[in-house]
Amino acid sequence: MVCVDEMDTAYLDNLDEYVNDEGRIVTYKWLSLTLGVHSNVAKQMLHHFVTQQRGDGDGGGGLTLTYLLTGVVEESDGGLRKVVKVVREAEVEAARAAINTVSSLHVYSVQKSALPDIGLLYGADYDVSKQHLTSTSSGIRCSEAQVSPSTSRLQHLVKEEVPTPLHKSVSKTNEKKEDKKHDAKLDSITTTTTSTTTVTSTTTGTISAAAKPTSQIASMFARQTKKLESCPSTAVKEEKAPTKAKSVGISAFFTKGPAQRKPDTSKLGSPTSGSKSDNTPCPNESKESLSTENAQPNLKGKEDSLVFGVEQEEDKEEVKGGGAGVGNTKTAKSKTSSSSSASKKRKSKGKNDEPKTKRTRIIQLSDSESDEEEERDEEDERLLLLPSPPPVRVNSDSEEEREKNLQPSKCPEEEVKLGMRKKIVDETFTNEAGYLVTKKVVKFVPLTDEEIKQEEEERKKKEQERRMKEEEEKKKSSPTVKSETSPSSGQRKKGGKEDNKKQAKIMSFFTKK
Amino acid sequence: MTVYSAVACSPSPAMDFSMSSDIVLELLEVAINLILYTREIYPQAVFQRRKKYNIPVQMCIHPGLQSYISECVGSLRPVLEKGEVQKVVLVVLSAQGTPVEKFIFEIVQHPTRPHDIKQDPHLTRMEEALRAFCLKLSISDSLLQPLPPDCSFVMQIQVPGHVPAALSSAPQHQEFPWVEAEKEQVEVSSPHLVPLKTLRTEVCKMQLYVEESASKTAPATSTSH
Repeated sequence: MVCVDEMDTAYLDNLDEYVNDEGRIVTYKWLSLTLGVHSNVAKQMLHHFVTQQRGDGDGGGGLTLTYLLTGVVEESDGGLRKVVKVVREAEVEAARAAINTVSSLHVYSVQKSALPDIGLLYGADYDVSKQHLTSTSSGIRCSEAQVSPSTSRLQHLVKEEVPTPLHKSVSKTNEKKEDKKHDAKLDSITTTTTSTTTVTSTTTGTISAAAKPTSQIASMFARQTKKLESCPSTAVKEEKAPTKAKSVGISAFFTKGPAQRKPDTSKLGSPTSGSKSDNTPCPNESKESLSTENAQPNLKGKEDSLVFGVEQEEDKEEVKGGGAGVGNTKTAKSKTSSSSSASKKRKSKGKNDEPKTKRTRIIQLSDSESDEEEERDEEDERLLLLPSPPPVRVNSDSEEEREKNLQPSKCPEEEVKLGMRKKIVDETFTNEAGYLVTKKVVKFVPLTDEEIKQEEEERKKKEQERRMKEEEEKKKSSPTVKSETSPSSGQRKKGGKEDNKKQAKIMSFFTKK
Repeated sequence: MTVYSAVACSPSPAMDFSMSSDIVLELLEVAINLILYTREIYPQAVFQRRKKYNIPVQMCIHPGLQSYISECVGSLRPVLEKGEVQKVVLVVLSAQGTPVEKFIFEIVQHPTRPHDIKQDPHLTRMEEALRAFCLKLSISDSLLQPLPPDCSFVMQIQVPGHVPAALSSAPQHQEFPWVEAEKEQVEVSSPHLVPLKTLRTEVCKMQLYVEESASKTAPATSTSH
């Protein structure tokens, strides 16, 4: 029992205010949560308060008490039964007599009211108890279940292995997802238990789906389709759960190489598994685990999709004598010899360093002719020279995102800012001979809003077309797809199997590999 | 039974009190039962523990009393839907028929529609406020003097002047009419106010206070002579 001298008198003043001034029913649980003290301390405070009030005389101000009595009762058949009772002060002695072994007896509540209905005690601390149960300040915590955007976590993991130029594209990619998931989280806060259950089931479904090996093309389509959705509703997530694993393939194209991705997946696997286990007790965090899983299967699929790119890239490099675009159809066009040579050098460097990422580039470049033509018209002003593919690709479902990721990888040493594009800009200067020379130089130029919008629209359209083609190619065997890629001068390849397929259709007439 | 007649007219399209009237009617029914239980106007055996707003409340199960309360509350709906109810009063009458206590529900309705409540979509905070209202009502015995034995009660409503005339012509109110209350049952002798609870929600603002007669037990002692 706490010594009276040690007890803070301020707490007793608070109790006096609660009970006498406000006329509140003060239970030990309510007092513990309100004052932030241990429940045993709260019980002793109540007892001390009543003793003090009654010791002052005048019948203690008309205070009524209830006690919590626990004990073991021996039943008539010899069995033992644990009993927990809330009894009024007048009934305590009778209740104690009815119990064979009294385990504990302490003050449950203090109030001025005569308390005709003892059920009122339930409602007296209902709100504060419920708030305590749902409060995040509970002592029960799981470090892996912290409420933090999964994209930021993924970005953190990505940053450890990826050079800085990708930071812009990655962050921008993550921003979109983060916004969507943040909205989903906000909605989930007031979700009922049914929706919480839905999210939980979706989460488990995504985890199991991610573990299964799936075709790369289907994964590319699934992932892109998922990213195009505006709101990550739970229903949508349930639908996308089985296709999430399939989306691994596409993501592999636009993220790190498999050597780098393996540690990524391993890193993501642990937090994901941890969050999975915490799904049921943490409904708010289940959304986060979902987003974590979104990233994880994307990374896993990278390795599978990388298989396609190598040969195609090599062929493309040979074909594109004057072209510099790498990784994107938009980047495929180079209109200056200097830029093309530079791109070749970069390609060679990137090829040696990260062959798998180069595959990504090549596949992107292997777009259909029609797509390339459209892109040419629209992208005359843009030149994306990517000597090396982006080391890390995070949730790059949309073509736009891929292109953005690929753009900064062109110059790993440079930092790409959002909304900046490398454009062929006419630059006039005086050469050594003293002549004014106008050259087309690649410079980072901020895009206008219209251009950005146009880009986005184009990319979406291209994505859809690509998915259609990839689905068709998916049915064909992979070696067939690889062998069908052939060099074609001046052809801008968007990347993806559909381009290879079209090339195969055209070029297979002439050559076969 | 002293009542005021109420008019049954269609609500104005600009002010929709349907959501407000539903919530207020539910709260009134629960509050009336709680007052009857807490003030021990009827024995506890007449009441049964029920659940409302996630807390246990005592509701009357006596058929006559239950039907009277529900009809009183139900007949308020047309007036509430027009937002014309100013006060709902539960008057506790002594054995001699004089008011000794008046539980006054001063109601101000807001024409809130469900989609207007965006900060509390599941009405959790509103339920919390209603819960606190009921809880405070349940412990009101600590603030009031005990009642004399053999008390009864009547329901009264205070409405604008044009309402009673329109209500008397309504056909659905012929079975349960509201009539103008007698003056002797309206005014409490030497009253003093005891505020109990103020409820502020998106649909209504309700103040509950008690006009308590200072001479609550005096009539009993006076009649003994």
